[in-house]
Amino acid sequence: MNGYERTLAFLNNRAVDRPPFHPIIMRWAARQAGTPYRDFCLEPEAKCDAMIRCAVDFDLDWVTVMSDPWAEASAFGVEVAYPENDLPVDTGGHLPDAASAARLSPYNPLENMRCRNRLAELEVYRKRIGDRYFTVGWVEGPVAEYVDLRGASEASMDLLMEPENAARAMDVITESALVFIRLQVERGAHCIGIGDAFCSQIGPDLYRQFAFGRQKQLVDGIHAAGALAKLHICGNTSAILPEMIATGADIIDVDHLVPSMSGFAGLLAPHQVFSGKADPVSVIQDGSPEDIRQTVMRDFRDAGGRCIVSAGCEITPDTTPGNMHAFRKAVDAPETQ
Amino acid sequence: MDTILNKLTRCIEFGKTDKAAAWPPDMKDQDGADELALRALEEGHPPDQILDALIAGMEVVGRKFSENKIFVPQMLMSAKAMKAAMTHLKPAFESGAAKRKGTFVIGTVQGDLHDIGKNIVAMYIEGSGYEVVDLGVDVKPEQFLVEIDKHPGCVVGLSALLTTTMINMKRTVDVIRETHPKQVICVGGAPVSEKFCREISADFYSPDPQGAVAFLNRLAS
Repeated sequence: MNGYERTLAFLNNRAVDRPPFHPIIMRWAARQAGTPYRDFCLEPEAKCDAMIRCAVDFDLDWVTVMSDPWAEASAFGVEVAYPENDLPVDTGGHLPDAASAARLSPYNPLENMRCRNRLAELEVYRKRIGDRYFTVGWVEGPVAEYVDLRGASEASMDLLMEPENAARAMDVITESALVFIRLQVERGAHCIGIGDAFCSQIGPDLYRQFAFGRQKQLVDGIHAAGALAKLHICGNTSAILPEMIATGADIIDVDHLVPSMSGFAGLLAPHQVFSGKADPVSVIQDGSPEDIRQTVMRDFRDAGGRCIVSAGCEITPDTTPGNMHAFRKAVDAPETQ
Repeated sequence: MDTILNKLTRCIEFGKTDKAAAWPPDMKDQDGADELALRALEEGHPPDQILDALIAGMEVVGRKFSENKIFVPQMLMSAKAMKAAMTHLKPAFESGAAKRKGTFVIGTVQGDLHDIGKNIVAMYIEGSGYEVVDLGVDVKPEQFLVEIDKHPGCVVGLSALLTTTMINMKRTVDVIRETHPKQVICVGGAPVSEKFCREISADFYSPDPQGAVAFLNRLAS
């Protein structure tokens, strides 16, 4: 069974040799491959090469196009700097106020370098690994993208002070994301992840008001394009997990700050699974192999066996290869079979 | 009785900045923290009493935040209302007519450009009666030293969002301790933990702003 077959079988409730292993790797992958992070973000071959090497060396079941949140923001006009070995940073071009946000225009992914790169990455994966690994494209969710365009504090206050303007901007963000999704699926993505991390900070009422319907639109768009959908919101999402599940996304990411998945596993439809939820710092980076094994077993049990094994969020760059191997080995524990 | 000070407390609790503010909808067209603080001063309420009313509002905000009854957007609106009221109290603090409980020097450590967590903590601590010196983001250790010298007895707060930059907290703590071995230093941020706090020899870690204020209040008492 390869990573693609294993993931599909697991999602479809068919027998698998072991649960899929989908740790989110970005800076860690670049470091393992010795690739400067600027190249990882800006050069499709460099990113794909690093990801594939890690997938092979650490027996991952997936590859992704993830590196930073600034692709769509740059298409909307945000200026981004790319330090040689650090995360990209936004340096200007943000929307100055909610009224300008309401006048946001959709972007064309084919006219932006970062978006074209993402499509190119999927083409590289298609050429180099075909259907051997589960290949995941990505879009920013409506709230996360609004935060990228306005800044976290300003965006937060807009949700209360200028809800209509914020909502108009999020409609445009969603419309653009749907176009970008279709292009990514055409280039070979098996699944599209929706990253909407800031939703864990706004509470259930604002989540329902601004995020839920638009995330559902994205999930429906992904399914209509012929791919699977993954919804990633890190942080403590306990208050919104039922709605996250109700979006219909096939893979629901759960972070370690959610105390347990057990109360939510019963809400999953037959086609849905969780992915999570080890603490990337205290367990995967700093824990012993036994800590990692215990955590994976506990989470798998809490999810009623419906959980792809991963950390709650990105694997940290300082995680040792030894701990990553221990993480992978934990998936083989008899309790997960 | 709904006194002006009670109204001021409610403005902080519900994030009503000024009369023109659209939030919260059920306080539409009512005076906000800005107008009420000014009027309270004009009516002769001592600045310390006004500050107490603001602190009372912020305490409710902190409690609701820790109980997941409000979230970051509402917290920021309360902090904004607090800031609006504090503008009017500033001359009283400068003249010594009103006293703050102490000084808190805060910044996101070098290499890290994230500010929302730091801003929330800064606003909450300011709203709890402390003078806050906010050094912003990407703060070099030497900048902390300058402010420590300017504010003897202050407490320093270091923030980081990224696992890659939290290691700069250790460097900052080390640099501060070289010249100020007894300086009290608090740390916080998404990847930071109690264990990490101990490892880098910082004095206090809190996962939320309320914990930081409780710690400062213990030091101040």
